[in-house]
Amino acid sequence: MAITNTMLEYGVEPFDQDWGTGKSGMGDGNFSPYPRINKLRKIFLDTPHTIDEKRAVIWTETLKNNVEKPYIVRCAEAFREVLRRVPLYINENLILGDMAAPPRSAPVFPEFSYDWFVEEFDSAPFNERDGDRFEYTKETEEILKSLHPYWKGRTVHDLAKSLMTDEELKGEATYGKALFFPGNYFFGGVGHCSPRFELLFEKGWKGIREKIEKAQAALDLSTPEGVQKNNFYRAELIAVEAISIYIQRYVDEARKLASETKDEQRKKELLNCAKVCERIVEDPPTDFWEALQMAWFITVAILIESNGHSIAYGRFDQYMYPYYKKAIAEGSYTKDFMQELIECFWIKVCELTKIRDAGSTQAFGGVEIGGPSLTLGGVTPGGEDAVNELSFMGIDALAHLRLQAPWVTTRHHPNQPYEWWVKCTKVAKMGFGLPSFFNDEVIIPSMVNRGRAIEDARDYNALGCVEPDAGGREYGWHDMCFFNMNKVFELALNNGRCLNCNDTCPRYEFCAGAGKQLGIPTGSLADFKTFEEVKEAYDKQMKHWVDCLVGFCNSCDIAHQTRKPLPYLSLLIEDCIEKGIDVTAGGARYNFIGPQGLAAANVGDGLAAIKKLIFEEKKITGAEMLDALKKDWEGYEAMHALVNSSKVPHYGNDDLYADELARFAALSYCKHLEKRPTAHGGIFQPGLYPVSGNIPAGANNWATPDGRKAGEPTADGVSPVHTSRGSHDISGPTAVVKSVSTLDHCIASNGTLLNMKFTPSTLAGEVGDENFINMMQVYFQRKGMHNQINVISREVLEDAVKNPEQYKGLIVRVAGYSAFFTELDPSLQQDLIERTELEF
Amino acid sequence: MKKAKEIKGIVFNVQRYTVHDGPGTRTELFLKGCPLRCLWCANPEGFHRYVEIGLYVDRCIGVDKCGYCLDLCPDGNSRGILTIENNVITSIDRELCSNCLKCAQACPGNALVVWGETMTVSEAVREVLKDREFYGSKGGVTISGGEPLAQWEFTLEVMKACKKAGIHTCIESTFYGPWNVIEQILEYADYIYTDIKHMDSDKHKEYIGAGNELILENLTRISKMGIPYVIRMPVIPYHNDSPENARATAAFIVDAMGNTVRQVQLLAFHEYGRVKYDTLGLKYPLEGRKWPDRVEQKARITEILDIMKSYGVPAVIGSNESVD
Repeated sequence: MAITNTMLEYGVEPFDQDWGTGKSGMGDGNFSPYPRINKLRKIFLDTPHTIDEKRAVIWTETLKNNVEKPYIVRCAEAFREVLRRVPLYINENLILGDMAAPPRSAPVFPEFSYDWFVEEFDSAPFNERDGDRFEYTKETEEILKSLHPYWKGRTVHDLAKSLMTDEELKGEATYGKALFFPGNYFFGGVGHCSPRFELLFEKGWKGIREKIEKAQAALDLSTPEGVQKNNFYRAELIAVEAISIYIQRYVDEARKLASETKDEQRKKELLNCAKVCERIVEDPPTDFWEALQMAWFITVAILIESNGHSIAYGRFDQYMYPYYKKAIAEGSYTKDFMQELIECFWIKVCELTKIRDAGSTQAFGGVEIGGPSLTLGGVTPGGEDAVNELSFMGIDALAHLRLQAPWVTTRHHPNQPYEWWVKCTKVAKMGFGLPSFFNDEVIIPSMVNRGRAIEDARDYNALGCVEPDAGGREYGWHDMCFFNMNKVFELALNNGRCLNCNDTCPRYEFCAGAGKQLGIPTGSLADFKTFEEVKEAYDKQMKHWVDCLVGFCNSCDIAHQTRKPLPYLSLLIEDCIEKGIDVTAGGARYNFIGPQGLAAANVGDGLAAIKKLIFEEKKITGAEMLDALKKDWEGYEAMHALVNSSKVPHYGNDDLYADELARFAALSYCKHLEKRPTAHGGIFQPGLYPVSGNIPAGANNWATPDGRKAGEPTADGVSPVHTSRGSHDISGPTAVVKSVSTLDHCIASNGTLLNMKFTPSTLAGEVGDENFINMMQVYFQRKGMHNQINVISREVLEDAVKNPEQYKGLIVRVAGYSAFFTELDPSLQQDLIERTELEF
Repeated sequence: MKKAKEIKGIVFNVQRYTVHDGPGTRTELFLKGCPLRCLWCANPEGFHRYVEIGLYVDRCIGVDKCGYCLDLCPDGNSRGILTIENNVITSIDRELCSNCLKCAQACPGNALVVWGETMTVSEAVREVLKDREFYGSKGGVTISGGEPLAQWEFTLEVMKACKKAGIHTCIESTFYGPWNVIEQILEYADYIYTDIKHMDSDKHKEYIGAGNELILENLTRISKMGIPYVIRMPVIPYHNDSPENARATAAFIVDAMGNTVRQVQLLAFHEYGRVKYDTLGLKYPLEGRKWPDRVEQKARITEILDIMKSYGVPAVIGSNESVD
């Protein structure tokens, strides 16, 4: 499928179309050549976020009324009832289907955790939040509150918590001291997977049903296994019936609207939409539009069953390509019309939203669904170049919409056409953080190293922020937790105690007050005789907390299996039907849990300061530094300035002195975590990325030797440190690239994230493209895994803080994903401004 | 003449990932020392050929909390070399200061900084080699300043050593210097960046500090050497942005230089260097001047572009278009 010289066109726009540098958020919003798209875009931006209670009501009622049946069957019936009864919404989008709520409205999922949700109506109303605001009626509030008694003690969260030891809970963010932040999986759904589109397209829902029936017929019902699996298949059949019902309802609804409209053009359009949906109620799609419509129904229903986010749209340019080729060959659709359809699909993705608790909005930022990734480019399962016209059209759609979703991730490898680099760069430098860049050459081997077949690894899609996933074959629990390595470091410097340990801590009476400490005793910075002892203390403390983390994650895993089986999702992920096992219980071909470490750079810079100033130059003693940290640098301003200055080596400046220490910091976490068993039958694999978890992680982390003050954000992903005294990387992007590639990206097989920010002048014009591409190629040759760029000037950002109204369309990349700047919490906005401005 | 390894240079910045001063991705060495004084100069730390101290007043964390500079000043600051106001260092008496640099070397807050680092030729080359893998087929090293001819022996040896290491070399110079020196250096130059600031020698003397005869004579020679070169013209409102000057410049490029130039870059005026004057205790020469707004400046620069083009000169605005 490689592009040859005979292929004159790439996308609908020239491959080297330049849209300007740092121009995101500017202009009249009419970026697309298709008026429908510009109109839908405007409607989208003008629609406020709301809360919708209907899913929660139907789900609760159904579960209450079918108590005698196996739990998985009850869940399937609840899913079917929702799809049978929720109201439908059709606007001028040519792709139909919603997540059981109107566009930009969040359905509610009481089965995961519900206490916080009901409490926040009174304690921190969703419609009074600074960012992430949701509107709702009094009636909605009352209805949702009325469901609360049923769910008390019955949620996934309640069970998970009851399974945990105190040792595990005290490391957690809500109940303990925030070494790890499991927001998603402890309070919500798992998500983080993508369906196997190709197989679903091949069989249609009818084919899937036949496959289940065949497997069911082959069971020996006299065996305990047979009885168990029969329950699973019963649930599967209900789920497949449910999705067909849902699609048929859209057929009927579109016909009804068509009969009511007087606009002939609109009537025709609605009838066409109905026809497209009708084809795929049972049968496989036969053309581009039908396939696209089916891809949408497949994925949106996952979001109705569970509120786990990061449901990815897979390798769009691969599974859609046969239909594209067919349409061009037969002349059934024009390239332009298919482009318009793609842009319709992109807008549908934008409309998804999710409500999170006030704390998690800080960690994840934004009010969007979270993690709607879509992958373009890369190699085929056979290892050949996979870039095609649809790869380019996908990027054109980004340029035409300039919205925060889908999170388009682009794969890169040495044998791809140069034009693909140019295309991705041209859009990335507009400055809305998309697309991001992934390196096949390190990701594929790292996936194989975790036990995936080479063909499955080559067919990966990026998921969530940066997590490589063998699309449709894997239940990876990517993004299970943020883990703050710098908090481990804090404890390692103070004999297992928090540096700010005092009797106002809510844990005091059964911790320090009872003669204990949070972590394990590993010595004090005041007493360490050699630098090696400091590193040993960190590594020992790390082992302890990774053990707690693993136990914690497995408790969550068991709770999800027990209280939230996912019969619909199990239809979509390979091997569940063959094995007769639900996806939550290990039905997928590959299973993992991937918690991600953050703040390797802070630990690295902190170690460098200790090594240099205490053990080499002997300028200060360990006791003095420990005192400075405990006092949050109060009275030690000169030391604080010094550790933040270039007089101490810092990670990110192509200086091995610091880079090797950051590498050590990250490796300690990765080594202790990798290959531990998970409850759903896989292994743990580490990642090194933050989403925006570096903000809450820092908020719970006292002053550290890298020069952070108490509460300041930690570094983001594998990016260098920046404190309130300034950025630690001062040597430009090539130095950053070299430092970052000293880390072992391959062991961090759940993904690494580098976030580079550029001023527009650096990337402008041909010169900007050439040099950026060249730098990326070197980064990838050096086995860096991922990069994404911000191209925004300080003036723009500061002005946007002051005048948010003028920047409604301004999108920024927050560590792994995009959000609208004006919807971010003020601390996130500030953090973005402080990030290194790579001025060169 | 000294042996190459004995030659040391004073470099005030090693700038990696330079994308505008020469083809491809480059490391740029900024050398201290310049015989000219353009009124709009954005690199005043490049004026002097010696290492000096810069002071960023707002970075000082307060002498009560730190005070290392006062402790380390050889005369204990008894003569008041460092002025303290509101608890922070606000100026340096450069007449009294012996430039021993101890205060700046100790300053934890980077309020006192050292402008310039003395390095040997091999140290300089080592810095250049750090980014070798980024240079690709086009990029390499650019030696700039200041005026690199002010440290011509060091410039020559670094260029020679880089060439030997297979690094593409570029020099960015006004070429205000003796031809026999320039000729030696250009033997090792793969690319040249230079500029023409004014065609009227009196104005040139007034704004730049010397007449333009020597520069234009050297440029005429360079144009016939076959080394690819780019000419820049910083477009300074009210100084050199008249249509007459544009016509004279274009005519010179065509008539005297045979229009062999690869690209003529018209660079928009900026004042990003202002704060550096303050750090050196210098007065910014264009302080208080009122400038036309950016829209107006854009119009003037576009007019110059059109004039240049009417002469057949390959002119562009800015430095974002690729050069080969």
